[in-house]
Amino acid sequence: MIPALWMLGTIFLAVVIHIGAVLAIPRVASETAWQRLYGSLEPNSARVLPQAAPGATTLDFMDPMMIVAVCRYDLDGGPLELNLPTIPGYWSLSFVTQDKTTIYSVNDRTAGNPEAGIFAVSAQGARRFYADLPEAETLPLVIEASNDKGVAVLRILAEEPSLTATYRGLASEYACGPAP
Amino acid sequence: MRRDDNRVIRYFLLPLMCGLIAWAIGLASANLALDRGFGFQKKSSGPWSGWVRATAPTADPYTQAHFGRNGELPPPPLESLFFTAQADSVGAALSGACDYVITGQFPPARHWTLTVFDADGSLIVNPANRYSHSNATVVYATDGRVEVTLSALPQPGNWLPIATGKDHIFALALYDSPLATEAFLADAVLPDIRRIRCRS
Repeated sequence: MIPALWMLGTIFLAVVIHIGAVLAIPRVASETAWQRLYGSLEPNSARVLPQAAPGATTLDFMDPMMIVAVCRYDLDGGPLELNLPTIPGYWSLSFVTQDKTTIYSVNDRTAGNPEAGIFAVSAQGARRFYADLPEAETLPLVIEASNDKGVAVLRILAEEPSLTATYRGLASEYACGPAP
Repeated sequence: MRRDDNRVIRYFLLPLMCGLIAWAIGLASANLALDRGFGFQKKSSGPWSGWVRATAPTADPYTQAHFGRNGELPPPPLESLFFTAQADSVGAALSGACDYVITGQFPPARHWTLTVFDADGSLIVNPANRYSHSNATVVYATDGRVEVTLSALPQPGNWLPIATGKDHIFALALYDSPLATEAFLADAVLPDIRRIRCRS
């Protein structure tokens, strides 16, 4: 009877440790993608990541055909305006929080009319931002971020190597900053 | 055995041993689960597997922990999928001493890329500076099928270099694919990875 109770207790404790480890690991991990990106960027500014190359990749399993530009945002100080270049091929823009949750993403097919402007606002500031929007025929794309801090990742696919230099030039035009 | 010895075993050694065993099992099983994932978190098709809710707001704690501890930033969910393979279609580990062909219909997607990585997720040095193919760079057969040959030696047709003496991971990324919505994911069929030959 007593050995069986000890075994049950051991299994129960192992389950508790298993669950605790799964929940704790993202908080104590080092060299994560977030740490590599967030720490190297100034708030409310964008940067094109170096092209993936052998022994020199910013992120693990980085698609060498994908050009990645990242904007670190902090909506504590107010809404953010993002300016995207006109890209003739596939692109996607995703807002990722520290726990690597993508809270919003659009691509060239679903973005509608990005030329009308792309803004990110905090959930608290959304109502005021909408009230202050000037009347216009084409409404801008407004992203209500559930988390004030994160990165807005622009990916541009250079599906042929000959497009890489041109698309990297376009990616360098990606900009973000406080909305006027 | 003296009565004091029994007390030491019962109140000190036995709890300590059970605690250490529980610690080892708990951590090892968590590490294994985060590396490999359970069935419901990953979609597998032949040798390929991918975390279906990577970075999605609906991701379960295991998916969150898997990506929360590594250096990956997967493409956005609900429009993209990222599959990897560490073995061929019969389950043999990928080796740089062998040649492989990836063949079949590629899943529906506006764009796909096929890339060779090492075990750490880095690209592999090769004299051709060629690391991936995409739907725009491959030559298609007349029936729409694609054949990509992976070999350390140059090959005719769609060739991707691998390296002798390295462990490899083949990665298939689908961008803007209907399969990224889970309703269609069950029907996904990914191409075969066949070993052609090995050099001694």
